[in-house]
Formats: sequence, structure tokens, C-alpha cells
Amino acid sequence: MHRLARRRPGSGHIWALRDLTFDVPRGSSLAIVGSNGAGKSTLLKILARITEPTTGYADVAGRVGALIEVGTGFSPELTGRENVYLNGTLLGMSRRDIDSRLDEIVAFAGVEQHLDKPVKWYSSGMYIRLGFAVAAHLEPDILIVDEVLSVGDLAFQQKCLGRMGELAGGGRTVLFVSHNLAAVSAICPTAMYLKAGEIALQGPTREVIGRYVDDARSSARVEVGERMDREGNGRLRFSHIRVGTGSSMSTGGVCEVALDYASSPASASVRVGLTVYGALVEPIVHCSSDQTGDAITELGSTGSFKCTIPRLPLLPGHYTISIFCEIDGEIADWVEHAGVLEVVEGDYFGTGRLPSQAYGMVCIDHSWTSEPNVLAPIELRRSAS
Amino acid sequence: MKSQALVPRSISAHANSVRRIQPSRWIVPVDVAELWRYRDLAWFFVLRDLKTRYRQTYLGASWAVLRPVMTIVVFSLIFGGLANITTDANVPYALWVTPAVLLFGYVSSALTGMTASLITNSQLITKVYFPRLYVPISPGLTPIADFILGLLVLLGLFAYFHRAPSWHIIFLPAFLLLAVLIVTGVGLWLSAYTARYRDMVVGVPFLVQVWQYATPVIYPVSLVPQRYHWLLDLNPLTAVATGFRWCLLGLPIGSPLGLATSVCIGVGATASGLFVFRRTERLMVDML
Repeated sequence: MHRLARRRPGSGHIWALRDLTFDVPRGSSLAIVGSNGAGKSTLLKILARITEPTTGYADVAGRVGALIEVGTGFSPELTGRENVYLNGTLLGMSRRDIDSRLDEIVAFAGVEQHLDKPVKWYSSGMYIRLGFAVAAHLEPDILIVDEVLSVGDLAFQQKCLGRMGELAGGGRTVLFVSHNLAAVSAICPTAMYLKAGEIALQGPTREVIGRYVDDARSSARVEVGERMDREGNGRLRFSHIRVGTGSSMSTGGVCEVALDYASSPASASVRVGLTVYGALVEPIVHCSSDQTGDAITELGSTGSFKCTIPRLPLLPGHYTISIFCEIDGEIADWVEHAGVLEVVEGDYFGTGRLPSQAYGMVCIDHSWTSEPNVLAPIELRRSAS
Repeated sequence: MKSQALVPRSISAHANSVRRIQPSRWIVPVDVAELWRYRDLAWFFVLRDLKTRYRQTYLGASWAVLRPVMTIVVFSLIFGGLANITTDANVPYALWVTPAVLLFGYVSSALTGMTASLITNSQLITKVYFPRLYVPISPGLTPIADFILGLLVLLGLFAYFHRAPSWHIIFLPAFLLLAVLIVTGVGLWLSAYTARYRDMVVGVPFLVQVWQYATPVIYPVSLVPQRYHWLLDLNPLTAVATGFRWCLLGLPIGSPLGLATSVCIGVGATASGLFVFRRTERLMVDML
């Protein structure tokens, strides 16, 4: 890689990447971390030859397999088998390659029984599993993975991570972008931290992640309206984030987060949401208006959204909040780590006892009963809803 | 080195090939070796288009037969019947018009498909690298299947009129290839243009219609005054339409000059189309 740079399309002078120079030795694994708009995806797309750099160059030795999105090119009308072939050839395999790996791919995805059904009848989980399975059996010399593990169930995620670890250990070069810092550090011994299109730090993963986490915390203290590292088409712009009175909340207390915005007045279908991140920038909980079914259809020239969490389940600590707003299905504004949430001890259970901070991250409502001296097992209820 | 033994063989096989990723120059050559490596993809694209085309239609693939039949019936009634166009060939009008109807059935499907191809495949183009040329080229090949099915209509008409095709039919693939060449050239231009402006998605059906009237499909060349024949010859599809009639009905083949012009235009359009498409390719992802 040498002085690799790329302008953001349509924006004239903003560089999505600027003067990147780095080496990835064969057989090593490199994680790329950074907030939205830092240039991670642009870098991967250049290396995967999906877009071209504006200046600079990259030398790539060997076959590149990129997993930017799982199940790309699946055609709903085609059967699972046909889609494996279509997807595989799309990723650069020949028909013969796929012939010899079909059984493996299908077993990995666990869709044996549905292989000859159109994928439009597949559940989203099956769809994703099959997509990853094809890519995972590509056996490229260089594997590029961009944030695809945020989908699928936990067991399958583990399987995918396992497969990536296998490839990384088997002499393949892996470039891995993820917000899941735990997964990143499990697979990649070295990491690169991109910030506004430039390399902020490169080195051992632990060190790089530490710096990234610190930065995320401090950027959360910058006023939202002044942040430049945001995504979206700008139909709405968050100007301010207010957390309760001051910014201190207590576990079990009412938590209110207000998001002030400026926009053009319109009637539109609006989805607003926030994600709370923990100390390792790991997502803990996601709140969005479409989950709760709260319809928002009117926007003013300025205004405010309010999210109310009646009993905050978070244990005491420092959290950051990312916020986004989608208008008519398109991201209008998205700021990561837009605000800080400091949670202090509180009486979640209303018992006068403070919840334990030693284990876990959240409190949940629960109760205990005890039935001594019974031989039959306690009958358990199972709720269908 | 000792550690090299641990590296799987497939890696060392590729490791020698270092590819430099950099901004492309003014002329982007067509990477023939890569197209060959991805050849299976072209086949699966065509297969996908074939399989999805008539899925969930009641009549299914019989549409490939029904469409030309309806066109032939309408043309025969209006132009052969009401307008009484004489073909000065000893062939019933319905039979006479069929080869050209099949030709334009292909041209219309192929151009429509090629023009829209970048848009319908934008999900792929922005997410994965593969030789993009296959995106417009495949929908130019898919309607050949419809064309072949359409030949059944011709067989039916031969049987109905108690006639047999000419032995010239062995040259039909050559003329079909010429048609594919011309359409591919025009389609590459249209698809490259469509990456930026969507006008042609709307404009193509109209364009095809105009092209059809500018080609001796419903009228014979002899109906056009001699002094305008050079204009007909400039239209590369004139030679193909006449050639189809020569192959299938044994009618006189058109002027050699017209045929030569047609081949030149076909080759020129495809070559320039490839050039334009390759130029556009590097910016495509940002525009889609």
C-alpha cells in the first residue's frame, strides 16, 4: 500500500482516505477499526477492486475474496443450489471448484433439506448462513471481511469467527473490519485505527483498541452539531443531545434522552433510534421507534425527539450513545458516540439493595421462589409470546 | 525456507501474481484472461435471467412463442391485409414478415435488458468485484433462447403454407451472430450511458420501435425508391433482416455493400462500446 487516497464521490474536496501507507505481510491478520466515515469501508472496497483509488496504489499478491455483504447476488427465484453456484462464480470460483465444495458449503450452512427450494422461501437466518458458507469456502489468499458478523444468530457467528480464525491460522491473510472489538482481538493480533481517512495508530490490537475506545469517549463530549464524522443525506441534522437532567442517571431510574434536530419541515416516515455502547465500545442495547411502533410522521424546521426508558437497566459506568435518524427509508443523519451516559448506582429492584456490579452489564426483572421437600420437578411456564 | 512447507499449495500458486490497484488510465484494455476465468459467471447470469424471466407467469415460456405470433397476426392483418403491402416474392405475407419479426423480438428484449442491466444489478456491482462486462453482455445473450423458441412459429407457418425452409438456413447462425454483435455494441453504449443518466431506460422501447420502422421489416426494400437505398444500407439491421429472409425463405440476399457496411458497423459499435464501458466502469460504483 502506498499513499493510497480517495476522494469522496460528489463532495469535491473531502478525502475519504488520505495518504495511507502500510504493509500487511502474507499470512498475517489485520483488524481495521474506526468510527463511521473514517474510511474503513472505502479502504476495503479499494482493495477488493469495487472502487478505484483517486491517487496512489496498492500491490496485492494473490487472489482476493471480499465479504462486504453476505448473500450478495442471491436471486430469490433461484433455488439454494443455483444460488450457491451463482454466488460462488460471482466471488471468483469456477463451476468445478464449487462442485467439489458443494457438500461442505451446504453442511456448513445447514440447509441440506432446502437446497432445491427457491431462496425466497428461506428464513433470513438460512439466507445469511448460506451466503457466508459460500464465501467462507472461497479459500482466497486474502480474505476481506467487512462487518458481516453483526447478522445471524450467536451460534452461527461463533462458527463464522471460527472459520475466519481457521483461515487466518492457515496461512491466509485476513483483513477484518468490525465493531465487535472482542471478535477483532480474538482473530487479529495487529490492528489499524483509521480516523478521518488517515491512520491514527497501527500496532498490537490491544493497544490500538485502547486508543480507539479513549477517542470514542472523548469525541462523545464534543457537541453533536459540530461533529464532522457523520453519515447520512442531511435531510435532518442532530444538533444537540440531552440526557435527563445533567448527564447522570441511576440504575433503575427514569432515563430520558432528548435529541434536538434541525430539518426542513416535511411529512415523512421517520425512524429514529439510539444505541448504547459499553466500555469496550460493544453495543449493549438498541432502541428505535420502529421497534416500539411509535409512528413519527411530522418534522419541523427544528424539533426534538425524546426517548424514555422507564427503568434504566444499565449498571453503573460510562456509556456512549450513537444516534441515527432515517427518513423515508434513507439514513438522514447518523452520529456514532454522539453523547455520554453516566450511570450511577440506583435501587433497580426497589428493595433498598444496590445491584451487584461484579457480573454482567444489565439488570433484568426477575424473582425467585423456593419449594423445599418436593420430589417432582417444579413446573415451569412457557410463554408463547 | 522451512516455513514455506506449511503454506498450502494454492497460495504459493497465486503468490507470484501481484496485482497493482491504481487509478486507471485513459484506455482500459479488456482483460480477456479475467473474462475467461469468470466464464462460468456469464453462464449463471444467463441461467438466472432465463429462470426468473417467466417465473410466476401463467403461460410461462410459451410467451416466447406467443409474442411473435401476436405480432405476426397483427402485421399480417394490417400491413399484409389492409395496407396490402406486396412483397414481390412468391411467399405469403405472414411467412415473409416472420424472420424480421423474430429479429426485432430479439433486438427489443436484448436492448431493453442491456440498458437496464446496471441498475438491476447495482446491488452486486457495489458489493463485490467481478468483471462488470458480464452485466450488460449476459442480457444481450439471454433473448437468443427466445429467438430459438420463436423459430417454432416459423416451422408452424412453413407447415401451414406447405413450404419448406431454404437450405441457406445453415448460414442463419452467422447472421444471428451479426445481429448479436450490432446489438451488443449499441447495448454497451446504452448501458454505460445509463450508469449516469436513466433516460434510456424510458427511451429504449421507443428507439427500438423507430429502428424497426427504419428497417425493412414490414415492407420490402423494393417498396423504397432506389435513391434512398443507401440510407437503408446504412442501417446495419437491414442486412440482417434481408439475410434472415435469405437463410430461411431463400429470397435474394441484399447488396454486398450493405452487408459489408453492417459488419463494419457491428464491429465498430462493439469495439467502441467496449471502450466506453471500460471507461465508465471505474466510476460506476459512485454513480449507481
